[in-house]
Amino acid sequence: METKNHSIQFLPMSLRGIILASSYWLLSLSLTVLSGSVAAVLGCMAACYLIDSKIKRPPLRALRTSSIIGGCLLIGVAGYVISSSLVNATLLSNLASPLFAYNISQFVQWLCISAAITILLRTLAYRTSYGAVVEILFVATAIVITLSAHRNGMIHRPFFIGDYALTRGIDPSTILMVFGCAGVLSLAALLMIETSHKRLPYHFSILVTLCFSLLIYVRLFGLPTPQLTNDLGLTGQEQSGNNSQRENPFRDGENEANDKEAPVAVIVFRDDYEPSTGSYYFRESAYSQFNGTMLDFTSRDDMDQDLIEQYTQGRTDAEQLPGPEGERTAVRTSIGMLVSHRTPFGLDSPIAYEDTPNPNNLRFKRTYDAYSLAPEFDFNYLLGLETGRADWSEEVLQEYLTIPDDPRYLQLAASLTENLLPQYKDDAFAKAWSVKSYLDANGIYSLKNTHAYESDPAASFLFGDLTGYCMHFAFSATYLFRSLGIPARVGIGYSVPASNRAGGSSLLVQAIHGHAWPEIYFRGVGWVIVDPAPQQTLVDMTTDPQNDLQQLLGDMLRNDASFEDFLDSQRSPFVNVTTILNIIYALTLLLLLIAYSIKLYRLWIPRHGSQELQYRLSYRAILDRLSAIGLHRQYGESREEFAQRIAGDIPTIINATDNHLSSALGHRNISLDKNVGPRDQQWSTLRAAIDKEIKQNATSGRRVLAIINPFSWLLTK
Amino acid sequence: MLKEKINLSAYLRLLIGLFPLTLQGLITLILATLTLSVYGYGSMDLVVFAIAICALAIFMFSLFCSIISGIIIQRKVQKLLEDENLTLTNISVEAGFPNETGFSVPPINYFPLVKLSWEISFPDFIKTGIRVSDNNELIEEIIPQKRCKTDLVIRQFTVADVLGFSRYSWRQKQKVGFLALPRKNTVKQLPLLRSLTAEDGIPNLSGDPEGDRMEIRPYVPGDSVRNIMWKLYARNRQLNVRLAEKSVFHSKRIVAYLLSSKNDEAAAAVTRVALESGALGENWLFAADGSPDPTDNLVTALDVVAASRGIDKTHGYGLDKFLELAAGRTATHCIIFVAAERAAWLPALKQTLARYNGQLSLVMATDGFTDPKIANIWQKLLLRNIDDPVAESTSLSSHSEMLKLLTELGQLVESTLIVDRKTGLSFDHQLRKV
Repeated sequence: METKNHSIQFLPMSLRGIILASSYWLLSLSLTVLSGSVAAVLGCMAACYLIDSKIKRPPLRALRTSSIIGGCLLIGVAGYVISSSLVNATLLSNLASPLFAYNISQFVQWLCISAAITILLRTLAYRTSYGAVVEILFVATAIVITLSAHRNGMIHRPFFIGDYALTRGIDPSTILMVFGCAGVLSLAALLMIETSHKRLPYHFSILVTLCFSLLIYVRLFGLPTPQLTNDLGLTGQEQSGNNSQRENPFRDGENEANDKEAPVAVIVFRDDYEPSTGSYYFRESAYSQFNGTMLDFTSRDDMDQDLIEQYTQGRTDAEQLPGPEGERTAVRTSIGMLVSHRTPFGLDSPIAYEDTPNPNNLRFKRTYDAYSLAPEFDFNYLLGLETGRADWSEEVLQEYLTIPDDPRYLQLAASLTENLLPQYKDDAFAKAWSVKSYLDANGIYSLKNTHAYESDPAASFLFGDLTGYCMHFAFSATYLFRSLGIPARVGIGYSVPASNRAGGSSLLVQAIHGHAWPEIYFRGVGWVIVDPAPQQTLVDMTTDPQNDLQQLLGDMLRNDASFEDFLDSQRSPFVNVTTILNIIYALTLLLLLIAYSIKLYRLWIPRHGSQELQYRLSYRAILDRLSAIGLHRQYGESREEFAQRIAGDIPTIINATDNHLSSALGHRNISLDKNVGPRDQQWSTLRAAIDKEIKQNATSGRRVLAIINPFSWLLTK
Repeated sequence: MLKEKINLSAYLRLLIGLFPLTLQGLITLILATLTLSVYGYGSMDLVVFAIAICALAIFMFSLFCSIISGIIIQRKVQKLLEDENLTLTNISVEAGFPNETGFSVPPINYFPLVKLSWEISFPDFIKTGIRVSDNNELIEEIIPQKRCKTDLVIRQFTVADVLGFSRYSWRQKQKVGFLALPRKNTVKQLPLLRSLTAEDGIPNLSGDPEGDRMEIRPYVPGDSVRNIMWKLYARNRQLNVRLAEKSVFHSKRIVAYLLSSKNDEAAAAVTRVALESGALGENWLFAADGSPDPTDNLVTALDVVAASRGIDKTHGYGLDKFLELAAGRTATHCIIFVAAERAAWLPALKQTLARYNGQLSLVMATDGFTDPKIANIWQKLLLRNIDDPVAESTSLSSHSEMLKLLTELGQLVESTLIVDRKTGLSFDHQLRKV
């Protein structure tokens, strides 16, 4: 009995040990050498065996849980002490080598650590109602920590997954989520306590099927996306109508989300372009109309006509072009949005957007081509140019010049321009540059500020501590420009350092690149960005360039046939998953087809088979019918016993079995029932009677299942 | 006020029973939701996202399956229990051994992610096991820890998911005769008890040869050759015969009574052996607490033994009434079976013993003598008290306490016999093995 119980428990015990040991392997890989990882696995397996087999027997059974926890701590400490002494003592190093001593010490340390933790986990699982959850949390943590490098959209990490995906053109998200599903199945295996081990495969197949719900969820709701750029109003639900009143764009100390490096879009340059300012500016929208409190999206149709604020199918052109192409160059970029944006954006200055097929629905929320006229002039070119557009009405011009009713703006602007050289006294760009220079020199860039809830946050910043972030600088500069009679607005979008391109054609836009900047309209040139760059900063806004991710996402977006060819060439002919899947599909279909054919043949043949074989064919057809509704002979059961067993529901089976037996023993030409007629007629009557009894006694569900199941005839014995 | 409190707690228990999530399920739900929000969406961790979404999907499906399967299986089981064939078959089992009750549930192969389990909640002290047959039928196996007799069996069925997140529970009553006799263990015969009932007779040649006291005399023609002591003959070549001494009783009637108490399983087992082995002689009357009406039928007497343990409440002291009915008029030998412990019946028994004129013998039964060990501070710190389900059904007695009890009661009765159910040995009033 003991042996039987032991063998029964061996399977779940081993499975649990393997899952826990795998967790140690994953956790220890980055923390120790190979000998440590091996020791962790061995310690875990040994501890699993010890606890699973001895926890319910003396002396472990009598020990308090707290005593076992104390014991585990002692084992851990002992491991650490022995390990330290092995490394510090010179004996072992001299006898063998320092490396050997270190390996041995790691072995001892990890053996003790894993054994102690496993004993603790298994004991809690046995003795407490929450212990199983602690155990699965441990395993889940091991999986999650090992793969956590990909957080905040860095899907090219960890590199063993990113590199694998990159060379095969697979979205790493898919691989990561497959790891997650495998993790869930492992956790479920740990939790599963089933009396009948026969049913474990059935339960697991259901769990695997349930894991596909992830696919449905992702199709319906998409993958998680970063939230930081919402503070600038860039991301969110795509808008369908005109710009509505937005929330206060100023934030106090709320811009500290830890997903600031999260990628929000990827841009592939179809034409070469290098900005003279050192940054690529992607304009999404602009605050241009003063609403009595601060600048807001315009509600006028005749303002900001260069902006395209809605997504459309096909191509959409801006109503107004920035200026002659002489000073600007046409650049086509492909943009893949990784996060939903309220409005499309494009490289300064976008003149048209064209919807493109999405190469990866799971990865990209939307893809389109942006056609831009990017500036090629330098700032010297702007000296002496007039501002404003000739076709603007006086009202529109006034809108671009309206500022809060605060004389300090005028006073500050006047004071900033009074030192200009006489020849530049009336030059718009020179005046604007003096304002920018003032903010560059005196402004302090900081995300921690307290201006948001002032009646005029820009005034609070400008005439206060001059400490703020891009929104404060952009609003202040715009108000100062306007007070000097220069039509200006605040542009919002992304600003990405040109160096991030790293020589490639793709450019990654991250959440941290969300930006606001002041713009001035120069006649014949269009809206020109004059962005203050404070020399003092209290926060490090630099990020590490994500060249691998940039390349990976760029390749996904580009989706070029040549790239596909390259990928095809990289694929090994032996592991072509698509071909294997196709073969499996075909085989499955073939198998089903054969099974249905056999099933139908066996049911059909009694009607057309020879009279000699009628008894065998008909009886087989009857048994097939019964098997389909779940009535079949058990192992060791004779046909007569089977007939007796089911006679309660199908009484005619006794008659049919007797008939079959007598015919099989040689009385093939003798009809047992003289009233019925010839033998084949008698068998058809029996078949009809059994059909009727099945209809009466089997539930409709069973009958439907009987029709659907192609392999029911396999149960016939 | 107390009643209201009891009602409230019962109502709360009912509400908790209706809540389909287990503690494990609740923790999993909270953790999955939290990690999805904090790490899945907050940090865009796709592994956590996948784990949490799949876990929630599995959780929801498990909950759905538990409830739906539970409802379907509940109806199925209800039909099964309403089956007349099953109701008519009384369950008669022996405590301490695995027994099949005849109740089984058809396979539940098609229900995904669920398992069915049940236990008998009434009568109490029944360990219920479920054996899966070759064709996946679930067959009930029980090990009653204590004796009992009832006409109702209540089972607590639970359909739970295999991951332990949720469950659907209900109680189902079955009107069926249920009899569990006490476990005899190693007590097979009670010769000392038999001699106790026989030795009070007056030795007389005209009496019946009964009892175990032997009379040895030389062989005379006419003696049965069976009674010749052949081993003795082999040594000394003299034919001797050994015969049971013939005696005449004052009264042939033995009346026996079983007093019930908390740890009286051993006493009940000894009573059962006494009845079954004929240790009470030919003419006896028997009753027990809970059924004070005397019976002289073995089957009924065994029923009375089984019914002497009150399941819902403890039975009252019925020895006085029994003696009034059974031994009131004629002088009889009364044997009282009790547990070897200081129980609630002790003061009442003392009064009865003092009052009763006839012959009285006391048979005390135990499952061994132990003196409580005094644990030292290290043992207290490191070791725990284990609630042993087996210990619940055993009746251990303290050696010193027993001696005190025997001194108190020994003066009031004619003879005392202590039987150890664990070893089958008998002891005298000084706890010496006899």
